[in-house]
Amino acid sequence: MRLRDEQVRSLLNASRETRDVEIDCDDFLSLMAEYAEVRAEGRAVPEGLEKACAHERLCASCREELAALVEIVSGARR
Amino acid sequence: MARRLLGSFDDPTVRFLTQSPARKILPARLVVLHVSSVSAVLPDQLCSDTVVQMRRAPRENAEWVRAIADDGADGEAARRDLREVLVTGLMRVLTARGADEDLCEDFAQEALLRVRDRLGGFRGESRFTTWALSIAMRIAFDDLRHKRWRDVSFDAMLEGARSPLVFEPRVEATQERSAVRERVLRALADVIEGKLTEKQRAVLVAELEGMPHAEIAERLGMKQNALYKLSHDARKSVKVHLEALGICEADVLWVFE
Repeated sequence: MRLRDEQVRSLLNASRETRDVEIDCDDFLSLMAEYAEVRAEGRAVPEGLEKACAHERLCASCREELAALVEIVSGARR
Repeated sequence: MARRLLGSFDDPTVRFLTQSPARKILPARLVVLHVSSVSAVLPDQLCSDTVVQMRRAPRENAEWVRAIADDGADGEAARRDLREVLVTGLMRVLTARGADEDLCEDFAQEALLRVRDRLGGFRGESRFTTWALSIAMRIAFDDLRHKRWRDVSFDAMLEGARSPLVFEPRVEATQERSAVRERVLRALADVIEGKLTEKQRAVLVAELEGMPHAEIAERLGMKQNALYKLSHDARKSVKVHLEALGICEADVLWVFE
């Protein structure tokens, strides 16, 4: 198995972001709408959404979905 | 001609649907559907203005929930309106990703069914339409990612995970950086080859190749939350091992960022 530098970097980042307790992708989905509105409105992330914020840093798939939702919500607010 | 809007446009989604940039991406059929929900009146005293008045105030969350669950005419109207919101949102973000209108409509239809099934799970912490759109996003992106990855061989990744670990050779600017890099890479090799299970290594490799969790879970015949735990445990092992060796974040950032 050959790891490129970008993959090593990605692994080290993921390791650094790892917490004892994390939410998974299903849990993230249940928070995604609220989190997207917070992001679209540029508000500070409230305590209850910090776990969503942590998951976003770790999961590319959820990050992609969130970015799309924020784009729609931001568009709707303009 | 000046356009004067009467009635409440407090709901951003309704406003979005009626703004001209949104109309540009609305398929013609949807525009017609939406226009049917407003009434245009031309009072004599406003002869040069077009006055558009909302026939119905935007739905509040509780009304959406009640109406979507309703089996009668109210429910039908609410589902039609929500479908418009979903299709419009999906097209806004998916057209650039190659999804056409038909596909967006399919996603919206599936999302509508799932929204109805999961109404009890809506906690009211966001607008109802945002919540419904989040479900539509999950359905759409899962499908698009699956199509992107379905022809990629997972067996080749598993084979790679079984072979000895090698890193990209690189010449560092100083001996000190080279030494830190060497130390970090040796620690990674030790933990990946010595402490992770074969399944954890396979997941790690697939993740590092960019394969989405839904796809890895399907290939391994696992539930996605079980896969997430496997991945979490692997990352935790790496973190604990690096910390035990005294490899600090500053060292890692210095060499790899």
